[in-house]
Amino acid sequence: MEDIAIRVTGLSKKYFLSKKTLGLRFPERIKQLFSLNKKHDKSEVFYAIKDVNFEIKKGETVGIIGRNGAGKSTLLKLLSEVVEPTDGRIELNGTVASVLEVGMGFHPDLTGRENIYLSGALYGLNKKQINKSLDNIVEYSGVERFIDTPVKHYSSGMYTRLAFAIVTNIEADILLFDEVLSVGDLSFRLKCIEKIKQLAASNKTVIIVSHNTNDIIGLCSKIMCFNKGRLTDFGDESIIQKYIEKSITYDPKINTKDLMNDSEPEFKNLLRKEWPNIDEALGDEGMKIKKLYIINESRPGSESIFTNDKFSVNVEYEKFNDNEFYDIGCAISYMNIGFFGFNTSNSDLNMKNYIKRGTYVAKTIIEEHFFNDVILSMTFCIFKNNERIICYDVDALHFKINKYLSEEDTKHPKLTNSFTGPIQAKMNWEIIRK
Amino acid sequence: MSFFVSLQKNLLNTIKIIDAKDQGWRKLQLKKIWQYRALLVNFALRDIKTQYAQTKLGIVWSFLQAMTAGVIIFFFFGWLIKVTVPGNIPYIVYAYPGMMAWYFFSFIISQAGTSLQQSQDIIKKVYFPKLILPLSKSIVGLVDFAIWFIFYIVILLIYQFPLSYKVVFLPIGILFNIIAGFSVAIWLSALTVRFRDFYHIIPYLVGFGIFITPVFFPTALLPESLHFFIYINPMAGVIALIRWCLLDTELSVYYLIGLIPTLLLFISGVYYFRRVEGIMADII
Repeated sequence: MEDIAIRVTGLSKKYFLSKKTLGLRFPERIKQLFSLNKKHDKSEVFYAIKDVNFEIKKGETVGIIGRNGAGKSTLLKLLSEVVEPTDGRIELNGTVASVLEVGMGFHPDLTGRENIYLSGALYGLNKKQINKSLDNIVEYSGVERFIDTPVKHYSSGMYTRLAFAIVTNIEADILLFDEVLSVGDLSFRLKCIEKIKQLAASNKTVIIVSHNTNDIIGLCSKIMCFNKGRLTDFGDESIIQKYIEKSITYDPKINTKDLMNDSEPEFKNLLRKEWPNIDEALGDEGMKIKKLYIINESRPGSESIFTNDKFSVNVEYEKFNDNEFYDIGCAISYMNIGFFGFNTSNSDLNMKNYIKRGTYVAKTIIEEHFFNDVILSMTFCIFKNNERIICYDVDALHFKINKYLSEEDTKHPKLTNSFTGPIQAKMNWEIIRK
Repeated sequence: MSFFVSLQKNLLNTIKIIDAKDQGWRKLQLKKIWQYRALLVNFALRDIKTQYAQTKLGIVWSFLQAMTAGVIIFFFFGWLIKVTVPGNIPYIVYAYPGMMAWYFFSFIISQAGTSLQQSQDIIKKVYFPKLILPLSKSIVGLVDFAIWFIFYIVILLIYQFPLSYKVVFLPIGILFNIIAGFSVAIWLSALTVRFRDFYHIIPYLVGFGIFITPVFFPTALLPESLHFFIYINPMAGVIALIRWCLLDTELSVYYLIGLIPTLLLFISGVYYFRRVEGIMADII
């Protein structure tokens, strides 16, 4: 046990999916109230963690990957004693600190300094340790001037930086992080990664849960992969490759259908928006948008878009006068961040050529192999005479780009397909031998 | 020999073992509460600091509460209803300690009784002995108790009424006051985690309990046949004890017997709380 930090044997966590009690009649409710332990008898049983065994050595940095609901967070909760196991045994060699949430226990009416002590105490730091790292925390969070102001007056940026600063100063033999890397900004991530490397170098044990494999690559010496409550793989980084292969491998039978994870709720594309009543339509007295629509140019009539489809963005509008000109702008957002914008004034078109009254369709094409397999939303706006924006329709359309996999891909999945950002474009590469 | 060596090593390395088989019978873990005393203090400080946050009067509100209670006792019960009290003690001097103890009790059950519900987001995210939550609320109640006590001293000065030398036993009275409130509160808080129904019982206990407790009247006013119900009321004994400490009033031996149910409630409450503690994060 000397060089082992964590040993887990036969660990299981069972949950009862509770039945609803709302529809019950009064006598039944009273009955249920008095049959304390038996009430679970008829409810459904669900294992969040099932029969998990592993050992982690001191000084190892372990990344836990798996889909939503695979049991990653439950495992951390079990290791940090937040919930108790139904079965099995956990041995922890050394002090444990867990970060299941950043900014835990913050009270808006307390000052920054008071919150550092309160939150720090919750993460298991004593007063001496906090005093030691107080300057560090204050400096990193950059709230020096406001440290004795109640945190409710902080800007949200200051608030989160203070919360993160506390987290990066936690000390213990075993540290557990749940999705911490994926919530902070870049500077916090870098700080965290630096801290984790430091910890590993000083023989501390670190466990990181993430569903973003990019966080884990290069940081962890060991990887654990969970699926439906079971530990499916435990080893070095090659497991990530296996995990990615599995998640991109797909069944040829559902070739034409959308490739959806069974745990995700069904997402419906919205590719068309019309204003039958021109008075309600987008625009001003000189111009009105009548229709917004996206057409899959590779497979006309199809309601779904795959990564290998070319599609067009169409704006149908009517002009009511001959002297003003309008530009149309589009912006595409991924996870609420607009990352890609294009409008008619940025093109070779001169809108002054289309100044006469009448109905027009403005159309642009987005080439195949441009977006990654992500969900995107599209915002439209209209500019008048190059002077001002007259109206917006935020997130007017939304759609999912599905991953296209050739037969070759299905047989031999490519690791390079694992990039998770919104654009994964097919570029022209050339290779020159020097 | 090797067994002892390994045992020693285990102690030095602080190996923590969580075993599903151990979860049935729970120890009190007083040691653990001691280890987490910093958190206890932090929780209490948080509540004390934030209680009157953004008020102009701040802690003066606590004095105003103490004063209002005094005014109500003086005019309503002492002057309008004219409750008679034993000996030649002025009415307010007799009744105020009862109100003081009752306020402390009701503060503990309403605050500590709901403390788990209030901190559910923390309970789901981090481990700590959950008894700390109701315990810290009880400590917070002590601040108000101290303020009420200061106000009582003022009343005594006005009436030129001497305190009994038995005031040295007051800490025991306060301890029992805390135990009485705390034992009800931990039962309520643990039960509320499982059945929210108990959440709605707290206002009844606080609002109506005062009428079946000898706060405003001496027990002697009641017919003999009802005395039994007074004696089994945990707060009746506590109030009698506190009055005995402050005013050297008669302390019926029955009250002391009445403290036994309080202790039973306390021990069973802690036991039940520890039993529910394991599943708190799952069901809260």
